[in-house]
Amino acid sequence: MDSNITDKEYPVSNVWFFKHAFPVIIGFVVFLVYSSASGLSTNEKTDSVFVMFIFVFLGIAGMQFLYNYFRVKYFHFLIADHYIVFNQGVFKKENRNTPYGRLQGVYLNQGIFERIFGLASLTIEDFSVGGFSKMDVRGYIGRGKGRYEAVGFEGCRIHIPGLMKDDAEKLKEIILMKIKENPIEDGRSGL
Amino acid sequence: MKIADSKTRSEYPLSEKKIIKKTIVNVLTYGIIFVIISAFIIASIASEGQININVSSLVTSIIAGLVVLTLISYLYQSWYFAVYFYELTPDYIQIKKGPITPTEITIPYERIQDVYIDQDLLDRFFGLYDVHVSSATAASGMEAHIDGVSKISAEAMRSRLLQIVKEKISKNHN
Repeated sequence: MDSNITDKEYPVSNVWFFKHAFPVIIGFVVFLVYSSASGLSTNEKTDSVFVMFIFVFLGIAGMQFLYNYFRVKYFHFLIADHYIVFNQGVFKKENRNTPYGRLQGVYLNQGIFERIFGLASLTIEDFSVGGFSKMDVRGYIGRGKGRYEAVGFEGCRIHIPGLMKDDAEKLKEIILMKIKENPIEDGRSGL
Repeated sequence: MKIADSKTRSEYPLSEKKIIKKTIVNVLTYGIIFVIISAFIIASIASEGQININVSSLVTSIIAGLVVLTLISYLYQSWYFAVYFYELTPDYIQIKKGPITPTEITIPYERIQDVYIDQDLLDRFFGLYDVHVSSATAASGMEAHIDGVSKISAEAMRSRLLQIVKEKISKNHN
């Protein structure tokens, strides 16, 4: 098997950049439909409040987009022979190297957004930091309204978001194959 | 609905009682919330004193709401039941669940720390068992479980899993 598989072969789909902006865009469309359906005249459409609303919507959506775009642009992985290399960080640079023999499990997830656009995300677990992570097994950090999808590693989990479904399946198979090819020789703890 | 195609699942089948159990759990949790919210709305309307409340139509509409809730839960749980997938492949255990937003969990046998079986109160009533498989991480025991199998299946699966794990982690395995 090719020993130099990177994020170039399995890129994060461009559609995924819109993931966090998606609800905002939906809200914006609903707002536009509502405002035209409620019969605002052209005079009122140039109203400064209306224009301000549009700017706020576009600003939030744009910031969400850029946030995802830059996180993904500076996230790289390399499936090497005996370990996986991850690099991440826009300002703060982090590098992580995880041997296959230490991986604990692989999760393949799809949320509503992923189902709509045919994407899937991968979460890989090892036992660093005592098996804890701020992100859950679906790769989300936080709860409620502040919940957002992580890119890269945090604690014991590594999350690769927004892969095409087929790519995610293939990447999962490759990683599972690597785990099998790199067994724990004395097999005592599995840690 | 088409049941997920899995050799392991046909060998150790999920009990159909699981659908009923989960429906009851859903109806109890959401039903209580529903009744409380309706009670609040009715109380606030009544306190304004403008509208005469017809008690029988009120009771009918609340019961109708509960029936709809039961129906929706039952359909959703049947769907959930149908897509529930688990497979003991030669190298790892794989569990996939969730009809709308699926999660698939794959754990290599070598990393399994323990296999345990539990029952909650309703499980005991229906004679259902949950088989959990846990790796070292905190979340894996919650995520990797097969929920709602019969006693015979649960015990058979437990001994099968323990046998596989024993073979995989013994020193002389190839």
